[in-house]
Amino acid sequence: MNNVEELRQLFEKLNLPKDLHNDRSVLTLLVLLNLKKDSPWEKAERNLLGIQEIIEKIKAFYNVDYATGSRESIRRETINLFIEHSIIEKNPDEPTRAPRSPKTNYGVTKDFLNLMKSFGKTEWDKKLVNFKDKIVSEFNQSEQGYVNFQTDSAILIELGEKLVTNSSIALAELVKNSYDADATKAIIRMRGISKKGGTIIIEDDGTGMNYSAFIDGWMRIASRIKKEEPYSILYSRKTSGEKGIGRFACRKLARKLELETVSQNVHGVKEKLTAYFNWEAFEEGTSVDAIDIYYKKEVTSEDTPTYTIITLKDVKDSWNEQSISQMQKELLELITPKTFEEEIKHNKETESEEVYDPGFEVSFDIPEYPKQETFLTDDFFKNAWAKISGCINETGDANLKLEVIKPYLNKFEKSHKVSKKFEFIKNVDFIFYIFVLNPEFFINSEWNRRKTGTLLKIKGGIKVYGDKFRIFGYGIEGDDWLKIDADRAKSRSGVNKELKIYREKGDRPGLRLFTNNVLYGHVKFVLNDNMGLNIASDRERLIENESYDELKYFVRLGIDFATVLYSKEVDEKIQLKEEKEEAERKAQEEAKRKAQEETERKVQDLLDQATKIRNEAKDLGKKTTLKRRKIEDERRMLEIAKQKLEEVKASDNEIKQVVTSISRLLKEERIAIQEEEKAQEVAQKLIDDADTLQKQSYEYKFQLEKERKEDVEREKEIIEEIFRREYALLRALASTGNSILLFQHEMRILNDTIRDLVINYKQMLNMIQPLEKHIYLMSLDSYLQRAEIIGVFAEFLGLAVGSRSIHEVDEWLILPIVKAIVNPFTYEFDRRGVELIISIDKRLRVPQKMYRAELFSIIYNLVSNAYKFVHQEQIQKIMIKAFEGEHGLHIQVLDTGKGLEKSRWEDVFKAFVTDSDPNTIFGTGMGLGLKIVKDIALAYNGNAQFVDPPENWKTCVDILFPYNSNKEGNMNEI
Amino acid sequence: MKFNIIYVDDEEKDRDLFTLRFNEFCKDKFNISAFKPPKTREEYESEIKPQETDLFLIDLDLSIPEEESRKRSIFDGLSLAMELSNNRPGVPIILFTREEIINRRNPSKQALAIIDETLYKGKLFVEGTKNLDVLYNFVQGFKLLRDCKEKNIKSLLSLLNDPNPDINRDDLNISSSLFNLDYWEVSDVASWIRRVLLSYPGILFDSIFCATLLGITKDEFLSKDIQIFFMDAKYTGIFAEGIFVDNEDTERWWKSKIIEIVIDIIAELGTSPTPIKKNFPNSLEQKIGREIQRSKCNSSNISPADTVCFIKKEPVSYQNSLSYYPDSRPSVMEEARVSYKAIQETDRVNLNLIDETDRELIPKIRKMKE
Repeated sequence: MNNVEELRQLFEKLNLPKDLHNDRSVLTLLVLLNLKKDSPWEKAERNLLGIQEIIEKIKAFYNVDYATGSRESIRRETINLFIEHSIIEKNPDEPTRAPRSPKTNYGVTKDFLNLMKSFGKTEWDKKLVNFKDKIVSEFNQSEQGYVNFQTDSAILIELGEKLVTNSSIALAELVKNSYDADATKAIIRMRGISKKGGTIIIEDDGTGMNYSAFIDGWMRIASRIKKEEPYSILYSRKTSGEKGIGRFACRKLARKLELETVSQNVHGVKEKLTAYFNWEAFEEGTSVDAIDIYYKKEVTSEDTPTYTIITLKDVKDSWNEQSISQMQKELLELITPKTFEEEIKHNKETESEEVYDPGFEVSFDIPEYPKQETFLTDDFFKNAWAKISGCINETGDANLKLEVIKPYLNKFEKSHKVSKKFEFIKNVDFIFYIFVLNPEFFINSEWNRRKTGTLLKIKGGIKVYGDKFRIFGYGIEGDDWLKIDADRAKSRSGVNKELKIYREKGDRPGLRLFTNNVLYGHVKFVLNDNMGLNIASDRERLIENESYDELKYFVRLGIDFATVLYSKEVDEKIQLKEEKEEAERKAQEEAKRKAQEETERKVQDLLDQATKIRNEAKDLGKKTTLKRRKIEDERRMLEIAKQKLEEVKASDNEIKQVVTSISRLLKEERIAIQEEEKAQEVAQKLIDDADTLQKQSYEYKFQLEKERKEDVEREKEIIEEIFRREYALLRALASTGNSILLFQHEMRILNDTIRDLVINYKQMLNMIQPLEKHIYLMSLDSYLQRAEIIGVFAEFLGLAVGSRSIHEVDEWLILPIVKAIVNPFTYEFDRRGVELIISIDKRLRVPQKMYRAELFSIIYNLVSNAYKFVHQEQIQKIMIKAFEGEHGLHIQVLDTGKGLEKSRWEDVFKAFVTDSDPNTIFGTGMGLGLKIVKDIALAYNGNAQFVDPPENWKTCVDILFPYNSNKEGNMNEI
Repeated sequence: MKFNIIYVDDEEKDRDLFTLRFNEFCKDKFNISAFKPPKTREEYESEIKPQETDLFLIDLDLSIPEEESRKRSIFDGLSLAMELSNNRPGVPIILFTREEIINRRNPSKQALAIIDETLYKGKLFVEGTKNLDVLYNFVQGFKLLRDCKEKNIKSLLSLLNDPNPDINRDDLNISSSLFNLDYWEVSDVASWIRRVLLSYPGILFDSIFCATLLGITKDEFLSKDIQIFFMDAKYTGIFAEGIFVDNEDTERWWKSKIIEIVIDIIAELGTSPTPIKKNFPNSLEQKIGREIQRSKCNSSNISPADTVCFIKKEPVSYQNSLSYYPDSRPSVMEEARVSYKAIQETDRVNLNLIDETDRELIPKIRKMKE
């Protein structure tokens, strides 16, 4: 028999617990006796070993390998049990060695060593009996009395670093203590913290802590002091930290804590207390009350102000700029910010009237990272669009109130009484500010939009305060506890139904839901009144229950309320802007028209004037010429008479008379000629004037023409721009088309592969039990069904973008295209109870040559719209009709959906206007569908419009393609 | 009889899969051996070329490199087929691939002419098809042709089981004008039987052509009491299982034999045999004592119909159909025609395959009311 067996037998004789009868325990003991397998017992000696050394020795002496991981079981399940039975003792060389010291070792007790040395010798039996008696008497001593719970130091780990995982929260717990001590400020100083081992000092000007408070409060775990005194002495502050975990939480931060505090005791004497804590001493396995804490109490001069300084030494982690800034931010927001005046009002109700709480500020002194986070100033909030507050009173009734600060359009206040009565929460208030990051909001303010946006991004959100203190998990960057960002991202169209009364018909405020980064505010509740709102022990979240749900509902209702009102403002502003623009445009057009009319009138006037002057000139010329001619004629007659008189040899006298007349006439004639010349001159001048006028009128006219031409040019440019944009869109779509072709190709391969797989698996299924086989066959069949749908989709895509569809024009049959479009959706339609009626003659073709893709696009868009309209209705019917009318072919799609008001019939054909709800089959519309439909119809001289639906239908879209003008002959001619 | 198949594919997964399938579904018919594509000519010479086989199944795309060496084959499916058709004349080659690969690669007609058939991987083992029987019949047909000692018209006619060799000889001669019937090559004659004789109606008729020829409906023609008369006319020669097609009649009847039988039936009742379309149904009614459905033009009420619409595979009158040129069938075969109905009710008619003069009628035909 070897040592191992012999020792195991001894264990039985000693009645050691069965747990020790294993190899591990036997070998442990053997190496502690420094015995190899065959060493004689008398060679036994006391070997002092640590656990790692025990493992190594076992390997060396007995070639048995224990993994390093088994250290703990050796310690707990072997060594500790041996210790209990006085076989082994801990640290025999230095019993006072610090717990957890790396030098910790174990050795057999002297009694046991003596016993073992005598193994097999004559005195053995006697010694064995003695030893047995001894351990039995020690272990089974009969006694009675009282025992206490032993508090293992591990409790501090549970209370401290395990509970509080975030460094800022750990510091926050200390700062809360300052607040509770009626301090007006707390300064956090940090030194050498960019590396491990630095120092953090929390200094306040509070009332300090006297010896009794230190003993009964600070030194007592889970002290009731704070519970019994819910209000602070000086300012009646509602005290926090009901579990008083602050000092333990600091274990997370540093290894040592020094407390220095000056307070005034009941006799008015100033008392200074210092104490030192070495957290390392509180290691697992030690009893909390076994560890001495050094303190010193002394009286100081009366003029010493009260204060508390907590110094955390040997800081565990290093801090960087980011963690410092994060910590500052969180501590600054630890207590409800002063900015909210309501807060102060609320305080006044609970405070005694004589003492006014001057407030509490946290500041920082960190030379390594001098950049300071600061409070937001009042100015910041002046740039908000509105402030919204809400409150649930004692009885669970709630009110909301919105006050516009910086109007978007109107300055107003609106209150709303919440219809829901809150069952689980009461005395809850919230205030938050809503920012509209619009440049015009920031004129004349030191805050610009970008700065505000950045700050809101960092600090925005809705924070939660229980009593005065922050519950950290809410309203931080990335948190969306109210699900507003999520809803906004999903474009969820609805806001709370009870706010419907504030909505305009047709608006979709959900699309304007405020996101976390334009909100700044907090919700605050009184802890005592809301037992349901439990702060999880990590201080970061509330426990999710009915109370929490109500809290969420309430705050979200506030946001929805603001959203609805804001949305209304925006809509109104847009409408006003549109109206204003429309009016301006009209006024401009009117002015232009008037100006042009004026010019036209002027041109006419000038022309009239010119004509008149010309006529005048003409008249004048005519008159003088006539006069001159008359005189000339008379003169000629007289000259003839004179000639005749001379011929008949009339008397001189007679001739003389004539000559006199002639010379008179000659004179008159000369004057007449002069007059005529003068008149001609005048006339010429008049004509020149008329010419000028005419020229001027032509210039005006030219100008007018030019203006009109420019207008036309401008219009042309606008149209060209629209075309350019449409082309760009088409190009984008064309590329999509290509990828769809690839996709179609892939789908066909997938389809093929699926069929292949199904064959394989069916083959495999032949090998298994009939019952299971049936189940698998069914799922395979449904898989195959899906594969078929994929196949149909591939065909569908081929039809939509395949080469025949976009390259070949023809007068296509309508029915096959309609069928190809609805086929892929029949499965979904059936499942959702949508009834589809197709009423199209199988021979009906479009009357003009067009691309199949165009026809496809029209029908697809109309059907998908119809589906979007009906999919939430009770009766879901869609009808696709085509027939030949008087002027052309009509394609109509009717549905029993929600209908469309007549006033919007025109609107929805514009690009990006959509009236349909998003849905799972066709998705959310871009609002391009109907525009495309109309464009295609117009391109073929047709039209697309809503028409009055027949009875029992809600909407009817009618597409008209006029007949081809060159009518084909009759078939009888063939 | 069991046939050997050499199967070349670059994808290990497919090699394993189809080997498994062949062994699973038709172990008694085929012995399949799967090969990686030869990486070098030497590999081809030593591994593929010398194999004793009755069929080569070749994947079209052989571009995936061998796993160990990361080397690709020097062949692709078509070049390998070309090599094999030179080295192993008379052994059929099937391009065995996926439909989409063919669509994507879109090989030229000349390239495809090298191979004897294309078979889609996804379709061969689909339940409810006769594809495996057809494949067996296909390989068997080639084997019969290879084993033929004297490759002349006489041996060919006996392989075709022609009941009226004297009548059909000229037509067969004309339709096979591209090769010498008295000294034929296996691949030529196999291609002609499968792609001409069995594919185009003329010498052999499928059921709808037979029915239309007889002035009755296809259902009547295929009914049991009428089929009895035409047992002897049925084509039972090589490749009788026809071609790899989905859901299509593969049965064929000798036209000359049908006419012979019909004339006998009519003559038995003492009537003039022509026009068959009119007189045969009457005689048949008398003979079997029940009413018989007449064939009817699909585009009008004219009965009996004259021919069969190429697109809709329905009877149609000459009056209500147009000549159509979808393929290069020999002149002894029936002309292809499209019915007005096909023009009116489908977009499948390729207008470019219609005579130019007829094309002008299309708009009017389309506007006709039913």
